[in-house]
Amino acid sequence: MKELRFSYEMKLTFDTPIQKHRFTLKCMPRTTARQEIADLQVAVFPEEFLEEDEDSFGNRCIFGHAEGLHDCFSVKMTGCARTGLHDREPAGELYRAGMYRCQTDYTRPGERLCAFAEQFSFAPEDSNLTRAMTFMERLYATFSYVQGVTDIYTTAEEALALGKGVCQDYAHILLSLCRMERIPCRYVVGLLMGEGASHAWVEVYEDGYWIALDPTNHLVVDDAHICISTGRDYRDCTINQGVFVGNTTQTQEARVSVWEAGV
Amino acid sequence: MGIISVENADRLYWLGRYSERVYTTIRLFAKSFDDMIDSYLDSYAEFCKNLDIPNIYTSRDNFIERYCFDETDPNSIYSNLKRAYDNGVVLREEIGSETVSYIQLAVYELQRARESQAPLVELQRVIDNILAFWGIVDDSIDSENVRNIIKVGKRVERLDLYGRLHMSREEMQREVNRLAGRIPRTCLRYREDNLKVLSQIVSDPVIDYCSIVQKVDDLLEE
Amino acid sequence: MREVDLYRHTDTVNELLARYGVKFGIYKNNEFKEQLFPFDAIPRVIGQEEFSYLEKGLKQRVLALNQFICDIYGAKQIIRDKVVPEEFVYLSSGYLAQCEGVMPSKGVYTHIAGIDLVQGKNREWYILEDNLRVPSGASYPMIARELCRRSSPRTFQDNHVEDNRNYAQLLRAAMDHVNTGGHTVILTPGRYNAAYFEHSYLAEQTGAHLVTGSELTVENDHLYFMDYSGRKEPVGAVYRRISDEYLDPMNFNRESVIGIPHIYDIYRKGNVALLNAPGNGVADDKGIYYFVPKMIRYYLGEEPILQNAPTYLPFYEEDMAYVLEHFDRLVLKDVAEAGGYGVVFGSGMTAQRKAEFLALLKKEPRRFIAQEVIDFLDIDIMEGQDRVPRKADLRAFVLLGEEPMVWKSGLTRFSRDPDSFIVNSSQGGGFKDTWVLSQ
Repeated sequence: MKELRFSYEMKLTFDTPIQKHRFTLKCMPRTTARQEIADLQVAVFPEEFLEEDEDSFGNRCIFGHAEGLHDCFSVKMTGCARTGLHDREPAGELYRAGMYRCQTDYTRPGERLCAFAEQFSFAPEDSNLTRAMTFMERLYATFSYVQGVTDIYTTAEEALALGKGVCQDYAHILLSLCRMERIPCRYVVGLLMGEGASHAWVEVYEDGYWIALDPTNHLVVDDAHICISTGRDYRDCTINQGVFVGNTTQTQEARVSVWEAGV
Repeated sequence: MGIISVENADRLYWLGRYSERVYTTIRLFAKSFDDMIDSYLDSYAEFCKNLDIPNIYTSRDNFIERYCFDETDPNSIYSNLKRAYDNGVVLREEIGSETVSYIQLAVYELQRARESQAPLVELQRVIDNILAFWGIVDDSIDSENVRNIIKVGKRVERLDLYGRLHMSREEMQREVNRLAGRIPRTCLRYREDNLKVLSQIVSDPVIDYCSIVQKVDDLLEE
Repeated sequence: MREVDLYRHTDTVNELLARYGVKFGIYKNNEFKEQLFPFDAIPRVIGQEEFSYLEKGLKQRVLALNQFICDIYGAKQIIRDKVVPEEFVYLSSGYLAQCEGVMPSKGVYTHIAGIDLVQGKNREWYILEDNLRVPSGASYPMIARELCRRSSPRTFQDNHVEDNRNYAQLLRAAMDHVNTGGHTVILTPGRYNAAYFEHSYLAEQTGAHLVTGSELTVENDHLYFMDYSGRKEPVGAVYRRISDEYLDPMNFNRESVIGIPHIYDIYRKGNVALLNAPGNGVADDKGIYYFVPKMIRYYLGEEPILQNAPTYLPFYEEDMAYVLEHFDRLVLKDVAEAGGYGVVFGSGMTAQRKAEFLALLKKEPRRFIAQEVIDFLDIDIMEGQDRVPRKADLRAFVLLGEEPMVWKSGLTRFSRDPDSFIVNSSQGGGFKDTWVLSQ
């Protein structure tokens, strides 16, 4: 168990001003069995109109729009999290998790993934977790962490063909492999202790619970991770999504800090 | 009911303008056509000049064919009627199927005129349908606002055309008065000074027709 | 039915249809064209008793379909009880995870359903397809009736036909039933949509505003319609004639420029009603079709009144065996396709084509359904001065308001080509009025 403080800052800059900007933010962690969130402060600029709700995956969302011209858009969030309260998250009965068993556009396997999956053979009694951990181990051994070779549109199949990528790609590949075994599994976006960007990992259904695995770091998630949102793949968990009027080039900067309280 | 979107207000206005443009230009064309039958074969040059449209025509027959029916000639009667239709067809729920049908019928008649040896007969039917269209606008559209926006379009267009044609002072004064009476009855945003200037110009000793066209085209605010 | 005077007036009716711009748009060589929808004056006639049987069956079917959708996005009992295999649900293109946990206003997911039926030579009716997303076509028989009565009053003096011009009232009732407070609008993708005539005609007839996405805006968790003078009027119900994907770029297809950003989010909060409700396409998938009779038994505890065309799911081993054995007499449909596309007849295939198809079928059994070819009861149409028999189907419209309502008419489409079974208007063909006799 840890007491963590976190900050998330994201800034979009537009080289020519935009208007009629609509956005949905899924950046706010919520209290679950594993983590307790307190002192959450969120500041959005511009903040003309803001509304809040949960999406159908239970993630907290901010909906907003800014009518007038603006050349930057920013989000600042700070808060505290007590993590590692439990090692798993209740998931309900298996029939309710069915949608997490089906491949999505990001995870649908092609030749590469199918070939990759063929090297595994499991005994009927092997649990979902055993299978997923076997996949994770193999993936960690063969796939390299390299930034800048993939982007947010890269599918699991494409990333595997490249042999390298970032946390999003590790997560999509692991999801794809698990789903080929009919194991329900979710994509997770969150924050990881230290300095850097937002992180992504995977949760696997095991006996009515979600167990979190971080394939990028080859570990079972304990108390160094703060979960922000879950979904079937990256798309369901996009932190910031928007549409606006304006012909512009945008640059995004994001900075995450997570540190232990009192340290 | 009783609410009109920005898009529909714009369409109503242009429906009024184009229906008027078709109506008045057909009447002018009929006069010119008659001249060209036997007396004044190239009167179309003057026709173009009066209406301030480029004379791209090579002969009398070419003029008749293209000015009436050529969909690629932006100044043709066909193109103007097509624009009236394009605005009308997306206003069905605002002005009613019955009203839209007269514009549709005018299109069919114009298509028929193209096949005809005596196009003035079918062109007359185009005019009949436009007159019926204006009649039904008056008779059966409940919303005063909708009616008035169409009429403002029609008045603006007529004043614009009459200005180009250098119509008599009497005609000009009548049209300015009609427009001035109509436009405040809509919620359209317009430049009041322009309207005052227009009244002034038509009572000046020498009418500055050029300014009329300018002020009219610049009457409505974007 | 008495010999009718109407047939002599086919041309008059078609002229009137042209006058009122009864057209549908199609793209040919990348160019938008408006086409008249050819009308044949010989109506499809359904007797009172027969229709009341259809009516019962259609209500039953639509109630079960609506319950199914509520269940799928809610408790998922039918999956738990293994009546419908989960992959048929989650892999159907109409399933939207965004709808999980959503209960629309008054629990209605299928406000307007267009159920396609055919009548076999044995006089039995079979359901061919359930269209729940944005079924179109009601406006055509509605206006055709108006014009037939004008062209041939005698016909309607001599025959006792239920008036079908009340469709607008039924639709209005369905819209008002779920309205959350505010104006009712019909949302169209615009004039270049194939069904634009219908959108504008239904708006006129129901007194709803016809709008495009850019005329609506979400503010303070509510939907507003912008007046040209700058006023904002609240909107409580949107009969949207654009598909789920394009409804809201923030929630579905991010490239959509015809949708309204955040409309889906306020719909989830219950602040506006959408007809039909997003995600209801999960129940009109060709694969799910197979399970509708099971749904009726499961949810309503009743035997289905109307039957499906005999259908096999190659997904199940025994069905696959049957399909392979009787391949030559079956019709196979790709569940992902619509509008008469992706339909192949086993009998018409060359040996090579058949081998290729069977390989695909074995590789992706979930993708296909197989059906017995129904021996259609042909309906006469006028071809010049002659009456000739042609294939025709019937789209019946069922609306869910306080109560399910079945429109006492329907769209009868026929194929011009004597050898074609495909009656879809996007592939040629024309339409007829559908008479339900009132005595």
